[in-house]
Amino acid sequence: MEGILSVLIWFPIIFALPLWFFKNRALVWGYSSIILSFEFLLSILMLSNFKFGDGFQFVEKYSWISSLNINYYLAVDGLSLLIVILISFLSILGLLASINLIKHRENEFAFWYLFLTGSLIGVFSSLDLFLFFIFYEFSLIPSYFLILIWGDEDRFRSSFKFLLYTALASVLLIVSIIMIYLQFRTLDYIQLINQLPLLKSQISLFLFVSFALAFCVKTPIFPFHSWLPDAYSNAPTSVALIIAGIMAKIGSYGFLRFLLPFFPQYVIEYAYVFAILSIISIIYGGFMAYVQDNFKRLIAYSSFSHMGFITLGIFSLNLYGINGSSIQILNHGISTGALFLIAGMIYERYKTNNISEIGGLAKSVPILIVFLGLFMLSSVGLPGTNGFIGEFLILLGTSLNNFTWAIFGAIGIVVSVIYFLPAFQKISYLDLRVPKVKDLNIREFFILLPLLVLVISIGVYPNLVFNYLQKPSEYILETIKKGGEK
Amino acid sequence: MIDILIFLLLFAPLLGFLINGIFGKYVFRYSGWIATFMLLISAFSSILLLSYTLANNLVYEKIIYSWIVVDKLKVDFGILIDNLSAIMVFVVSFVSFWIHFYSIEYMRKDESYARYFSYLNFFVFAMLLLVLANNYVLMFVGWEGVGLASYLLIGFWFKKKSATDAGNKAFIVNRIGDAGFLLGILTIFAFFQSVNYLEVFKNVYLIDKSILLLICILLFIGATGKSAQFPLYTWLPDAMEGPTPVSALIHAATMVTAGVYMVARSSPIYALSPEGSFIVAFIGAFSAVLAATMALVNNDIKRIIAYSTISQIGYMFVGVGVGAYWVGIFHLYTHAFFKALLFLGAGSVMHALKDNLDIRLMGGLYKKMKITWITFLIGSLALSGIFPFAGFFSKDKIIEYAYLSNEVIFYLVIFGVFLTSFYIFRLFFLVFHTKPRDEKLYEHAHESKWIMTVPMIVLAFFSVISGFAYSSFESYLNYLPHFSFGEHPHIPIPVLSNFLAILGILLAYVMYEKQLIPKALGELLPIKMIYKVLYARWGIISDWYEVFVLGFLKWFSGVVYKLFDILVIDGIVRFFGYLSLVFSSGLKLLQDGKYSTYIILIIVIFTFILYILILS
Repeated sequence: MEGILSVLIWFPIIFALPLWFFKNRALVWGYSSIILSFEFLLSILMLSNFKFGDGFQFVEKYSWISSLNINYYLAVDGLSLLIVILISFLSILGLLASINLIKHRENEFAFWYLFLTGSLIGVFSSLDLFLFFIFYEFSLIPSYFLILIWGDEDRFRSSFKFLLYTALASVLLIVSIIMIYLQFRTLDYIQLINQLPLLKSQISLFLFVSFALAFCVKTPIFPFHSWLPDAYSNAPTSVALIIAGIMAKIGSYGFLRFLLPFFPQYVIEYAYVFAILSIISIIYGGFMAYVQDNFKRLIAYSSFSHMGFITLGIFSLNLYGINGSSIQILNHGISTGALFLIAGMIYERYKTNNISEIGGLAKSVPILIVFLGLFMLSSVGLPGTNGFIGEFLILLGTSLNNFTWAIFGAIGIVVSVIYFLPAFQKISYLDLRVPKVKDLNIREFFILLPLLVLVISIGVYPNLVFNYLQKPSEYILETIKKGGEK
Repeated sequence: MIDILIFLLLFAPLLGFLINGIFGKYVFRYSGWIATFMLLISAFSSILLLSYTLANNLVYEKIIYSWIVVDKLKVDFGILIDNLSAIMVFVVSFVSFWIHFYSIEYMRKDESYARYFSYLNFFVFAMLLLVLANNYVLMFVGWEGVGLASYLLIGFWFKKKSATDAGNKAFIVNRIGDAGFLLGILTIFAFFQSVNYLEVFKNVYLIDKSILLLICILLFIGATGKSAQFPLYTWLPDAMEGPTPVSALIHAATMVTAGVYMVARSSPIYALSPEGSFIVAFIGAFSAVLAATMALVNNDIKRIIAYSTISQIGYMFVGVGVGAYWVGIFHLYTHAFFKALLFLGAGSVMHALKDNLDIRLMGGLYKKMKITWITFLIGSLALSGIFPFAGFFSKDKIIEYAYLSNEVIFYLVIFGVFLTSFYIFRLFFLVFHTKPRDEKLYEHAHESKWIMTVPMIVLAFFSVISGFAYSSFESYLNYLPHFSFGEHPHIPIPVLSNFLAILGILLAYVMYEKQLIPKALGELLPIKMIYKVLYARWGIISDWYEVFVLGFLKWFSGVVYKLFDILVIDGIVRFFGYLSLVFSSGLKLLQDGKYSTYIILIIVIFTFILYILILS
């Protein structure tokens, strides 16, 4: 299994290059789906070779810029392993879902899409801050182009806004990374975990704030969310799937991976700030979703609201909350991703995203509506679906920390049905005499089915996932505890 | 043996749900029979299970697998069988079976026949899970599961906007209660380090009283949602948009009584918190009277019975709230029969009258629908608590215990008895007696087929006899911790309550059958005012969901969205974007689109960075 992470990162990127010369549509889709299917199978291989007891695995460490002591250092623990698999999984589904959606410059689309997949895997498996940053920047370029070239009406403004915001996060990150380097002469994650918490307060506080800001923007947490509704709703749905399902997780992953172990004292001291902002995100995002007519915007705001749950759990700083948030990082990718895909399928059929212009779909496309309903239920955290496990643990963790926050979190689960149910009602029930269209075809059915299987199986048997998450969560908590004492 | 029974009981409906849900297209013609057969298996197993459990006073825990395990939290997918849960599963699966049976005919012409039965089976599965769970989290799974089934079945005829609106309302209002329930579970875990019933109850003595009170209140918030008590009752009358057998099963006999079951299940906690129990009893008594007053003037046959359900569940909460848990469950048990019967009777009437609901258009039906007439009369007498019908025994016990524990609650429930018999006999006379008020509808009326009348006859039979089980009921459920009641009431409560009930019936008879009350009396200002208030269902008390959730919150969110999210939050970003454009017009000179310029720039910047790195 040596070198598998490098293969996962570079394989799609390198094999994307020939796509520039492809002219035939069918060939483009066929070629790129073979690449991504292969990528997915490779990532699955890692599951069987993973050892539950160990920490970081599949390590690759080579000296890269030796004069600066910067390493090409890749490894995954249970959390990042599952995210990597989720990336390859959603990528292939998203690519298959793009086939009817992307009607021009398909070869370029596929190129950027594969590029994005590889660089995102890089982001989540780097253990050297510089490498992390490089992959992070790598992932911005394709996502920018994917929105700009293949997005909806408002794509120019929204892709620019997206770029502006993420550039802000990059500036904060690179400045902090340089400062860390200047202090320690290393960017090795494992070393930094031990050294950073010992840092003197002035610089440390600055680093804490800029890391925190960068990840807040990326997540996003209120009030840094204004890039999100535009970017998500104007991106083609398969890209929205990746941006919402994976890229936005860089924020919450960043909190878990970097912020918590690096700055334990400040994290403990200022956890309440994040918790309060998370609560605002949950409730505020929910009410903003309540008044959206554009279905993709509605999902976007709901996604924002759900990210609030994830950060709320992270900053409960106990095993329940962190486990809940880790599982919710995956769940959110699955459910929100599926909702975006369904929005795309509805758009393909009715050429509109406006809820007020569609209706009665339960009659015309019943199977699609069954899927929509089930993914919405997962999104509102109905027991039996994956969403419940995450939200329950997050609220449990929060309540042990501060019961008042848990009350607001519980209000959040009420709000989620307040905006989802009326939307579902308008889309599927109220009869608007929409044109007769075909229900899901086989391709679409088999895009959604695996996601649904995950929704139910994680909901019914969450140990499937917890086995991988337990160790990383404990590790994070340990580092906080250790750092907090110093 | 017992494991097999549990397995059959719980998973037969799930299998039925999957068959009808996935292959509904292919088994369409038989879906009713398939679903009913699954329920037959369930009901049969539940009877065996019940007799075995009661005979041995069994307490049996079976863990199927560990569901959520994180740190100290250990939630099992586990089953707890004891007298309480065995009685509950019997009521649920037995009544469900007959209502499935009835539905075969009632829904025969519906185009979504298979979908209907798959939902109905799913409901039973979730309900059984709720009852059989051995811990609070798994109960919550069933709890929200039945809520989902209820939502789907209320909005079953989804072309009707009113039906899907009612579905949304039920789900959203219930979620408010569920949030309370969830917080209650979190509190339980915080203080007991467990969510397993037996472990929690074992340690309940070690916990501070104020914490127990908090838990009682939070759990009860959940109960008020699911069991439609004040102030979360408002979804239940609207839920009548669903098919009538659904109203009978979910919104009368089983699901809505889940809150009572939950309080009885948590009796070790409630028994140690007199304040918490008082809240339960008081809200119950208040809801009982409030809902009864709304039933007095309503003209919708199903809604009257729905208000009656709220009212009767209020009685059950009085029972469990005053600490006599067996009485609350006993009333739950008798009520399941007679209330399901009343709904099925209403369904039979609607079937005969082209789905008409307005009792002002009915009348004189007794001539044409003998079986419905008689069974409905039995149901009404049982509901009114007339000796020797089932409701008499259970309701009387509740009133007795209420008398022994609190004066206010006693006056409320005894007043409720009079209201109850009046509204149900008002309905009875207006539907079955008096002159037919719509000739065309009357012409159309006919008795229903045997598939529909048989369940009514069975339920009527149980509405007569089930009350006599009261003494054995007490002994079966005596193991639940309960308050002690030393003395017996000083006044003959059965006489008093029967007197009031008969008074109500007589008043209804005089007013509607004989029409002896002069019209002028109705024109008096105070009476008119009362009528208006009742007809408006006490205004905002009933309409808060529409006014607040659908009205205010939507409006407010819209305002915040436009004025804050777009104008302020996004505005700041756009401002910076604009600023950067202004700045960059200077930098534009650097970006001339020539690769050479870019390369020079990159080199300059990199040297700069390296320079800093080396310097420091």
